[in-house]
Amino acid sequence: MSFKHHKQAPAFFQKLMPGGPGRFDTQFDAYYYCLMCGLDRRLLGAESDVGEEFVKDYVQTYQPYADLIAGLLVDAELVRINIPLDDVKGVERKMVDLLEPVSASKLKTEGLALLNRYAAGGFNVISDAFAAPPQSLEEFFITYQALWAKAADPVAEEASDER
Amino acid sequence: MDLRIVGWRYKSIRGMRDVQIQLGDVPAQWTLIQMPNGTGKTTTLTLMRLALSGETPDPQTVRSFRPDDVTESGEFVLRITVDGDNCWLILQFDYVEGVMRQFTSRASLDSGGYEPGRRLKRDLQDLLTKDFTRLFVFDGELAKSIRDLSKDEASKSIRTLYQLDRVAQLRQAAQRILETEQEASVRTERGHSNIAGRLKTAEAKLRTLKTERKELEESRSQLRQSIAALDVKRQERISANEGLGERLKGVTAKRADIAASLALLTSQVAELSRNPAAVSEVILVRLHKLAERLQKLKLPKTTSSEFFHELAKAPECICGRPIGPHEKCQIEARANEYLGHNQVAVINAMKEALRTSAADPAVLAERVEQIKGLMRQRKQADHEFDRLCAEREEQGDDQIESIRIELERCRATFDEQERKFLGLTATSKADQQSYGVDWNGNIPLCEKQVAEAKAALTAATNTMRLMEQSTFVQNALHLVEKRAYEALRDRVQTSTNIKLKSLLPGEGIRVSEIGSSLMLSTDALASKDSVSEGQGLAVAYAFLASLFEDAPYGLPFVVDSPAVSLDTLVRREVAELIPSLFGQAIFFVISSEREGFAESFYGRPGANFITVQTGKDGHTSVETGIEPFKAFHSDEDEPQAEVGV
Repeated sequence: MSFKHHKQAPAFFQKLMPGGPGRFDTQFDAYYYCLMCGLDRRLLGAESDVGEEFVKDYVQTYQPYADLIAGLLVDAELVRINIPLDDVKGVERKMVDLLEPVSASKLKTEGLALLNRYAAGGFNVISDAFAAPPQSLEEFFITYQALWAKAADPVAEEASDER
Repeated sequence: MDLRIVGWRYKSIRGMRDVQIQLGDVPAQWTLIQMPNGTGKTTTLTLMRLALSGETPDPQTVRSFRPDDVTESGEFVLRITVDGDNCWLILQFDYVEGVMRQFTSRASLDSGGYEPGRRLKRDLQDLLTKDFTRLFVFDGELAKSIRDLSKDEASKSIRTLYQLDRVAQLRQAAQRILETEQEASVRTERGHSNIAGRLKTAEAKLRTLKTERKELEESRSQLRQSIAALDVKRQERISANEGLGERLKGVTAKRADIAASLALLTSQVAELSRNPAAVSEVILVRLHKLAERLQKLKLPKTTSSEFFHELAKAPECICGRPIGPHEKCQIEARANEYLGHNQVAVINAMKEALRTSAADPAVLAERVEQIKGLMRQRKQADHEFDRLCAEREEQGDDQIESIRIELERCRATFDEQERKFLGLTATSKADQQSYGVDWNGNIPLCEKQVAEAKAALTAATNTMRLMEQSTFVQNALHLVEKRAYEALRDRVQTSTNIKLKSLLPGEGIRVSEIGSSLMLSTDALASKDSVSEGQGLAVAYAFLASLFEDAPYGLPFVVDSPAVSLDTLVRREVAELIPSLFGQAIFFVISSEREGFAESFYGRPGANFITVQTGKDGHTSVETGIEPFKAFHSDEDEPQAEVGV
């Protein structure tokens, strides 16, 4: 199992894909921005939208954040499949299902497949936010940041989760 | 190759409870075994055929050997020599199940044990088929079918004995090889030309795509130069006015500063945003909440599955109670509900990372705001630049406007060509997919298509060549088979007729044709469709004798009641004819066949006489020698009808 873009992502990020100054350092950057959006909105993309592998494992710059990304996946899945907060066994089982100690991504094959689908879901959010594919990194960051500003108010969400 | 029968043994077989017949290590050329009717002659021949042919009998046949309802199993062992080497063919019968199991024991085997199945030397293994064995362990029914026009035993016999079947098998093998190749490649010439067409199309497309790539490379390079030249030209035009030139310097320096600051800031934003906690307040809160939740739920549990697996092995629980098999089972089953050490470790690591995740999303937001500000400045600088251009245009410099229009056109064309070029040259599946290109619009895919078509064409060409070779070989083998059969058939026919002249002199019966069967004629009749049983037997013997005359195998000839339907005169002729044809002949006779037939062997060196008799008590005696043979008489053996020829 490996990391896979949304099928249309490479073309959408064409102007930002690695290849010089003013571009992403790695293709993983594009994947990561999509992933964060998908996980935040608990939005799974369709399996058929997931394209081909572009990298087998975390690139060096993201390795320190593998645990946090795994945590965000667990968090998104607990909400998506509606496991109550106090369901110790349910939470534990979900973690066992998704996490793999010996894998560099800390995820099992099923976990990584879900991660790719969240990235695909996030891509749909990003591509909707842009009128045309981004032409420069600065333009991308401004629109991307605006997406987060629109995201749910964390305090309100916390209160809703507690319920 | 020489095959001889050296003896056989019955155990719990109908008519033969526990009897052994031994013909000696070097058996006599002629053995006459006298047995009354109904005491097991037909059974013995059937058993010999089963042993030699290796065929599997049906349950009804197996049970026909059962001596009584009480006996559950039986055995028949045929001892033979093949080129002097001993071999035992063992048949074991399970009368209850109705099955027969065959084994072979060979003296050459170190173990001396039984091998499952019939294991003969390779040539014999193939030769001794069910049909062929009937020819020399002679089945009386065969004599009838030999002259039956609806059967093809005659030609089949020639083909089998002289191994013409092997030529047919070779022909089939040539066809099979061709078919296997065709399965993997193409079946027809049309298929071949389709593949050739496919290759031609792919090669033409590849040439077109490569030309397109070259043109795009050249065009893009020219466009780059044009854009650079137009930029320079535009700046020159602006600088031509002293006042504007100074302002242009200022704007250019400002734009350079902004570009440098933007590069720095975007790089910082990229770096910062790699930490999920820094992306947004929402994410940071969620990470901390998950850590708290795990803490609250006391996850991961401090007790691991390993602890319970260990506990299950212990004789007693930590509370002191003994752990029996039931408890052990329960503990083992429930242990799997707990996390393993490794899983506990990874969740702990994650929990720690969540708990300590720290970043200030506000920093990222602030940097992005700075980017926004810089972009506003850049926009202003661009406007300033545009204003300079506009002012120059207003001063009456028409060229500056056309330069701007030309620059916009060049940049748009360059972008379009860039996308086309990337689609044309994309190598990864992901890129090819995202540009929506197949082999018709992508060079690496088209090269792959050409390579595949080339491989398919090579395979198809080889198949076509193989088809021609196979057809040639098959035709040649067919001709060899046909001519060999015709030559052998004519020789057997001539030889049969020579023998029939002395066997059946009266009517002048002869074989007029060996086609699908033996066709007979006489001096007076072009086609003699019916013959008496005796005449038929005589024709069969003459045919078989001729058939085996030049055969590449020395086989024993075993026959049941060879003369019972012949009259005395013909019996003597048959007795003269048959023995000389076989290295070993075994005749099962009844007492009435002594006259004319058996008596012809009296006093001949190399003749062996055996008399087998079963008393009313079921005991079977075996006596060897001519005197008991001559003296034996059974009322039941009177011939039912003697047929004159």
